[in-house]
Amino acid sequence: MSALTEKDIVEAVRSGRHEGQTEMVGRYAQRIFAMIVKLVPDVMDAQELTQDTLMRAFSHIDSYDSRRSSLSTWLCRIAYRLTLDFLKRNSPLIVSLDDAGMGQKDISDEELEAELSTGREERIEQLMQMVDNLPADERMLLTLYYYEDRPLTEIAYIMGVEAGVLANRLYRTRKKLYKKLKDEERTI
Amino acid sequence: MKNERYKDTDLREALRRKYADTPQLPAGFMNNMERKTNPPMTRPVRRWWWVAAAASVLLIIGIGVTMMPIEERMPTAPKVVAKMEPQQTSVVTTQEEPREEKIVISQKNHQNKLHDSKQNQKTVPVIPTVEPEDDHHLHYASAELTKDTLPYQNPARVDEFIAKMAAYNHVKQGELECTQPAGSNVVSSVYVFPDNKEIDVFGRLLQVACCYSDETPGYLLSFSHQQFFFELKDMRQQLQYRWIAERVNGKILLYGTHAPLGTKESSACYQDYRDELMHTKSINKTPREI
Repeated sequence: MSALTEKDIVEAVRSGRHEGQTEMVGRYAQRIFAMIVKLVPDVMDAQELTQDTLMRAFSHIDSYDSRRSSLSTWLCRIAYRLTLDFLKRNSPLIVSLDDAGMGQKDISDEELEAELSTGREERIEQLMQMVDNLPADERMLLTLYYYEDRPLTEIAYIMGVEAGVLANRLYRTRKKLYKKLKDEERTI
Repeated sequence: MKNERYKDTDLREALRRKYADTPQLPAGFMNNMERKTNPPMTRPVRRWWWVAAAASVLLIIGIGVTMMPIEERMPTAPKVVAKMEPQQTSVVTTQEEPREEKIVISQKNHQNKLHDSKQNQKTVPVIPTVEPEDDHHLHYASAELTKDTLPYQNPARVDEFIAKMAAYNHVKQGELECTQPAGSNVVSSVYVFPDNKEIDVFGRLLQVACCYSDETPGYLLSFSHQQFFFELKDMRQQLQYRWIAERVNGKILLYGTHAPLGTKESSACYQDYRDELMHTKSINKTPREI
């Protein structure tokens, strides 16, 4: 276990000491990679983006503010932006027309929560497939919220949006999944 | 925004299963990062970049100066009139119609005396005199250097150019024997070009003259619509060169000489040839008392 604290790592990187960079890589690289690889299925691309994230962090370490976020969250924010840029470069941005009207709260949070918490095996498997078809930002939102259990404020910082906007986006995404589930039930 | 978190257990379970086997970072990742964070090349590279950039800038400036037309490099102010050896000179004046009466003016003590027998006759100075240093009517852009301090520009190349131009336009070279002064070692040649825009003798001669730096020894250039006058000295070969072109009767008479430095030259033989060309008996030989 390394004795360096997060503050020590930041100071070491700022002063150009090699051990600071090594420590940052050793401590956070896997976490960053795990986040990126959920959006970028190709491992080599994900590895490249992880390297870019860390190099960006080294060169912009002066802009890190420990009062706003932890070092880990700050690195995730860089990783998220680089990953979105990468996805935009490599695939056209598709805006779903189904999103229209999704912001209206015609279904209550409780109703949605009930529909997405049935415990049925086929529902879980359906959701696994549906998550793959979501846009990258929505997939990342669900991953950070449900899989990594990060608070919305932290996710808002990572994704660079207001927390209120993010809450609305989360509701919309859940509603989208719910509608798709309903549609599939009808077709069956 | 609700503070409590959504349970959405189906969704959580779906994501947990989906990401259960998240791949690990490849083993070589740390080594790659080490290489990126510690590049083998360090500071000296930047210095070489600066040296290369400075060299490039100098090269571009050098090319720019080389490509700049000579006219633009010439200073605008006229230089000092070149000093010439005292020599026998004369000024020839002519009329539009060569067969009509001509006026010959002998020049003594560097004074031009012009007497016209008829008021309506136009007189045009043809050959600029070389001798008078205080003749400000001539356009001099010349300087004399007594030492060969400039890159050598061989004046004989003007003769080569004229010979090629003559050959191309099927104009024969005429030899002139200048007997004045006696025992003259002046080598003269003469050409008669048609005066048309296709050949543009004056323009081409001017181009050639402009190829020479105005600091070339003996550089003396004068031109107008009617005449062209150009002189150079070859300090290596110890020769002096002179070229005179004149519009005469729809033709251009081009006369070139070269002689050892210090040789006294006379325009007498040139005038003879010119009169011969114009089918007039030279009246220069019988200077009239005015």
